[in-house]
This record gives sequence, C-alpha cells and structure tokens, in this order.
Amino acid sequence: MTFDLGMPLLAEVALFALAVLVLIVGLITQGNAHQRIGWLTLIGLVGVLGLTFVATEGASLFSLSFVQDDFALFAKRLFIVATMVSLLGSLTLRHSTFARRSAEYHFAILSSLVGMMVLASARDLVLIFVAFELMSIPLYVLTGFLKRDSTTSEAALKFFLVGTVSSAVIAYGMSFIYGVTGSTALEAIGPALADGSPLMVLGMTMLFAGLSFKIAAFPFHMWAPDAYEAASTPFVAWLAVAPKAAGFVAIIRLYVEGAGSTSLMWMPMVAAIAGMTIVTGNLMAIPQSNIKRLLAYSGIAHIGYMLIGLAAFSSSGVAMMLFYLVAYLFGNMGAFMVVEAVAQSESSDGIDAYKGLAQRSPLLALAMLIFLLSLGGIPFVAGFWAKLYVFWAAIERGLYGLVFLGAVLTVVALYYYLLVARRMYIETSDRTDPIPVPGLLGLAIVICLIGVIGIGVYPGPWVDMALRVASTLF
Amino acid sequence: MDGWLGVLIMLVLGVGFAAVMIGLSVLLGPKNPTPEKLAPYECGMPAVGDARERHSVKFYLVAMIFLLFDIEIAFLYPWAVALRDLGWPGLMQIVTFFMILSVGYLYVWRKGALDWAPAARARNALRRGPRKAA
Amino acid sequence: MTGEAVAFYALSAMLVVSALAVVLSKNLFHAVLWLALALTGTAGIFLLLDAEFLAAVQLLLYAGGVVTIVVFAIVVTERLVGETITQTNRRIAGGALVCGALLWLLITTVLERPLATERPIMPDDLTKAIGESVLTRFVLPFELLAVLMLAALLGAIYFARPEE
Repeated sequence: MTFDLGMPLLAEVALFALAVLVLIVGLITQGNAHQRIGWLTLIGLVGVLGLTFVATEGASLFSLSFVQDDFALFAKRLFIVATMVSLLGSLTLRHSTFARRSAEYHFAILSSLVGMMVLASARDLVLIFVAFELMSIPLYVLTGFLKRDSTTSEAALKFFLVGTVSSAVIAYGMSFIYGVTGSTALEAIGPALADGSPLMVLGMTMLFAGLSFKIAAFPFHMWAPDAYEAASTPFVAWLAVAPKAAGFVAIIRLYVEGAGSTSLMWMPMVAAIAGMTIVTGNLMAIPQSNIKRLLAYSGIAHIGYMLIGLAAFSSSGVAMMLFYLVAYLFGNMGAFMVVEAVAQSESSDGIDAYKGLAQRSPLLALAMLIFLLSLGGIPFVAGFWAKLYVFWAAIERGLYGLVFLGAVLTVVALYYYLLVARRMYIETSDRTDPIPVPGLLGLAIVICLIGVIGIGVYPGPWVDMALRVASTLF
Repeated sequence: MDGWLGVLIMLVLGVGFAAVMIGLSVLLGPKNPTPEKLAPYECGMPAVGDARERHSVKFYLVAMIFLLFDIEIAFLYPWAVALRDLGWPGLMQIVTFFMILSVGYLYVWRKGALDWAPAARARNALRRGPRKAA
Repeated sequence: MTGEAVAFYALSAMLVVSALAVVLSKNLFHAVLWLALALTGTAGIFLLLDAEFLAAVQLLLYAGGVVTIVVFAIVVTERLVGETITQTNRRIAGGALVCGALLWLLITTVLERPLATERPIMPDDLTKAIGESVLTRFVLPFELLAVLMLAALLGAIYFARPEE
C-alpha cells in the first residue's frame, strides 16, 4: 500500500501517536508541564483535524468493517472540534493535580478520542464494542481525575459501575445478534431482522438499552448529574457533548444503516424513550441549585430532543438530529465555559454565584444569556432552528404527540434557563468587581458564541451539510 | 475430544519435574536454617500476626500489571499456531500490539510503580534531588 | 441423555449455584472464591463446545488473573478486610423480579423460534482459525485492544498510586 494523506485510519494512527508523544513528554519533563502538554495536544489536534479534510471519502478497510464515509468524517470533525474547545478551557486550570498529572489528563482525553474516531467509522459489532470501551474507560478516569474528596470518588465509581454494566448489556445483546446471524458485520443485521427472528429483536433491544446508558437517556441517566458535578468543568463540557455524539453515531449505524429496511420498527421504542427523557430531564432541572447539575439535567432533556429526530427514522430526521448535535455542541460547551470562568473567580458552582453578574461582567453575562437562550430554543440562535427542524421532521412522520410534548416542555426549559438569567440581570450582588476571564477561556467562549450566533442567523449551509450527510445513510 | 494424550504427557512431565527437583534439593542442598527460612511462607509479609491487616497497595498494582501482560501472552497462542500462514504481516501486527503495550510498561517503570524496596525509593530520591536543587 | 448433556447440566447447575453465591454470600472473600468457581464452570462449558482456546483463556485470565486482582483489591482495602458485609439490600425483591422477567423473556423468545441445534461446520484447528481472523479481518479491534489496555493500565495506576 502506498502512503497518501487521504488513506483511511491515518488520522486515528496520528492521534494515537500524539497521545504517546504527550505521555513521553510528561515522563521526561520535570515540574509543571501543563501548558507545554496542553499546547502540544492542541496543535497536534489541528493537524488531525486537517487530516480529516484531506481524507479520501468512501475508502474502506477490512471487508467494510471500517468505512470513511461522509457520516464518519462529519462525526470525526465534530469530536475533534469539541475536544479542542474543551482543551482551550482546561489550559486555564490551575489546580495542582493538572500541574503534576497533565500528561495523564491529555493522554486520557486523546485515547478516548481515538475510540470515538474509530467508532465513527466502525461497521462491525466487534469493532464497535472495542471502540466504545476505548472511548468509555478514559472517561471514568477523567471523572475522578481530581481525587478531591469522597464525592469525586463516588461520582467516578457510580459512572464506572453504570458504564460497565451497560457495556455488559451491549455485549450480551451483541452475542444474540451474532448467534442469529453468525456474523459480526452490520450488513447481516437487516436481513435477519426482516426474517422476523425474535431473538434478533431481543438482542437489538438490549443493545439499545446499553447504548441509552451511554447517551444518558431515561431511565439510564442517573450517573450524569453526579459525574458532571464532580469533574473539572472543561472536561464536563466535553463529556456532555462528544461521547453522547459518539453514542448517537453508534445508534445510527446500528438502527438506521444496520437495520436497513426494518429500521421503522424501532420508531415506537425510540419515540417513547425520547418522550420520557425530555420530561425527566426538564422537570428534574427545575429544582437544581448547582449550575452544573442544572446543565446536566437540561443536557439529558436535549438528548431526548435529539432522539425525536432519530425517532422519525427518515433522512431529514437524522439530518436534523445531526444539526441539533452541532448546535448543542456550541451552546452547551459555551455555557460550561462561562461556568468555569465564574467558578474560577467565585470558587462556586451554585446558581447564586450568578447574582448581579450583568453588573459585574456584562459581556460574560450576555454570553451566558445567549448560550442559555440557544439551549432554550429562542429564535435567531442555533438552538431554535435545531428544535424547529427536529419537530418538523417528526411531524412529517406523524409523531404529533411527541412533538406536542416536546414543545410544552420547551417552555418548562425556558423557565429554568430564565431563572439563571434573572439571577444575572435582575438580582443584585454586594460585590461589584468584574470577574476575570483567562484569555484562553475567553477564546473558547467566543468560538462557541460565533458558532451559536452564526448558525442561528445563517443556518442554511449547516442544514444542507446535515442533509447531505444523512442522505448517504438511507 | 481427541488429542488429549499430549496433555496427559505434559501433566506427567510437569508433576514429575517438580517432584524430582524438590527431591533433589532435599537430598543434595546445603542446610543452613534461619528463622526467616523456617517460616511457613517467605514472601515478604510477616507470617505471624493478624491476617486481616491492610496490605500495601503495591500488591494490587503488580496484580493489575500482571493481568495486562497475561492478556498479551494469551494472544500469542493463536498467533503462534497460525504463524506460518500469517507470515510477515502477522508478525508486524503482533509486534505493533507489543509496542503499544510496552508504552504502558515504560510508563509504569518510569513512574516507579515497580520499585518496591525502600532502597529503590532512596536511590530515586538521590537521583532526583540534585536536579530539583539546580 | 448423552454424556455431553449430563456434563452440560452438571456444569450449568454449578454455574447457577456459584453465581448466586457470589452475590448473596455475606463474606466478600467467600464471594471471590465462588466467583472463581463460576468462572471455572464457564471454562468447562467452553470446553464442552470444543472451544479449547477460549476455555484456556477463561482459566488463565479470569479464574487466574481477574480473581487474583479482586483478592488483592480486597486485601489492600482497609475497610473491607475481614468485615462481614451485607451484599443485598431491600431492593432484592425488585432485582429478583427484573431477573425473573428477563429469564422469562429469554426462554419464551428462544422457544418461539428454536435455534439450530446441530453444530455448524467448523475448521479443524479452531485456535489457528482464531489466530488467522484476529490478525487479518479483526486486526483493527485487536490493535485497538492494545490501546484500550494501555489506557486502562494508566487509569488503574493513576488511581492506585498514592499522591506524591
């Protein structure tokens, strides 16, 4: 095989090489290497992102178990951009653990990213499982990374236990599928389902339950708020976006591509989970007094909205789900970056820390307001179009009840988002000193703002791209 | 379920080898008993005392590292059986697999997770000391 | 009943009993020993299915390695050493209900359309076939496994090492 920059797997191999390099730099550097390693990782990621743009579309390896299609490339770029935004934030962390263990932190992030990247291209059950595990295991480590106190350990342990159980359920489900089809290739799933094998349906249902853990859909969402509260915020911003997106990628591969002509049979199940996830996430978010827990529950609700798009099982439904993912990436990560800025100054994640923010730091408050409005779905920011298009796609398929439910709970969501806005704009604080925002954190916030407002004002190209990517799947 | 004769021969050979070796050392070995050697087990932990005390976390680390390289070894068997058919590409794949895991070994080693005795820690401290001062 | 069937039912009974003992016994250390028995029983089932390599791996890695790790995890954890713990809680009835429902679902599903009972044609040397497929079609998950183990090793060391 001759070497060219477009060959499949090159980006993944480069990413792993970067991870090893980071580890070695960490081993040979004495003292605080956080800045050096962080920048090395960021610059390396720019290179890997570049590789995804020169990649040859349609290339495949190992009897179609690894494919570099439009959808895979879209997902890979999404993962890398999310990682870069998160790393910008984590570069500003001054905690002593990051000073001493920066190499481990970045290695874990990068190896998890390798798992996601391979997952995006995987069309084989074994590969999907291994890639999923490679993505998940570093996440457990990163959740407990600060080793601060028993709460951190408890959250990491809870996440680990739930995650491993879900992996076991996934493996069990896959074993049924293999037992019926005798093959681990995704192409074998569709015909076996069409044949009406009950064991096959059971296997696919268990697989979906396992994957629901990973995307934190109801009733498998319990780990999310604790993990979000315990871990460092820039990592949480990433945890709330990239692994969830990877979970959706796997679901789309299995239930849209794999199930093929029988994909519609999953519609009632996905719709039911979507509805319950939206209700739980939004209602549980209301009483929260910790902003990270609030964003965790609202994130669960957003997963539900994305599932609405999936429940349509149509080209436009999946496309709008992907569009929703992009909007969610910028809105959610931006909000978490503001949380980090406030937490660094106030040493608190409580919503009360936002009192009078508009007077103290008007720009920061405005950024937070825009992110919250985007998450809430107000016109002319990205989240509005995302919700609108997802509802639209669901109506095309006649899912009126689900759309009605989603619309009602959007109002509930606006209520608790605006509760935060009220703290910032209406309530006053004794303190008037502005909140210092480290430059890189500011840059991350600005990038997210550009994303949210850019997509909000001019969603056309993004919608076209999502439609193009999704059309290759049907 | 045929072809088990070889396993039987292997078992006999294994047990026989152990028996012969122990017998030989009883017959021929020099006898110089110390209290340490006379202890029922000589494995680094005092044999007398409450068995339910907390042991060093190092034991766990070693077990963990052992398991990983155990898995690595387990993958060698099928490769070795299919060695001729797989040829050079197969060798390259296995070497890659080993190289990736040896990064872990390098890390473990450099981080001192394999250091056990206080002497090794002191040596490391000595080695690091001057650099920190500089 | 053939000898094979007798062996299967005997091993299955052993598996079910030891697996239940793992989750119900009051002493954590006893639970580990039951786990070792359960894992060995699984190896026996693999052996019955002519999967010698899998049986060997099961004994070597699970009954040997994983059980050792769990034992070490117990002896290095102060709070667990020698204490009698209750592994069950008030939710045990709910858990039993869910497990029973799953079992019922599985049985009805399998009965609805029984799986093929005769053995598929298998290559003479299964271990060789495993070696060939692992290093050709499945080489990517294989190498990814090395990355996964590397990440897991680093994670384990990260948590187990005391702070400097």
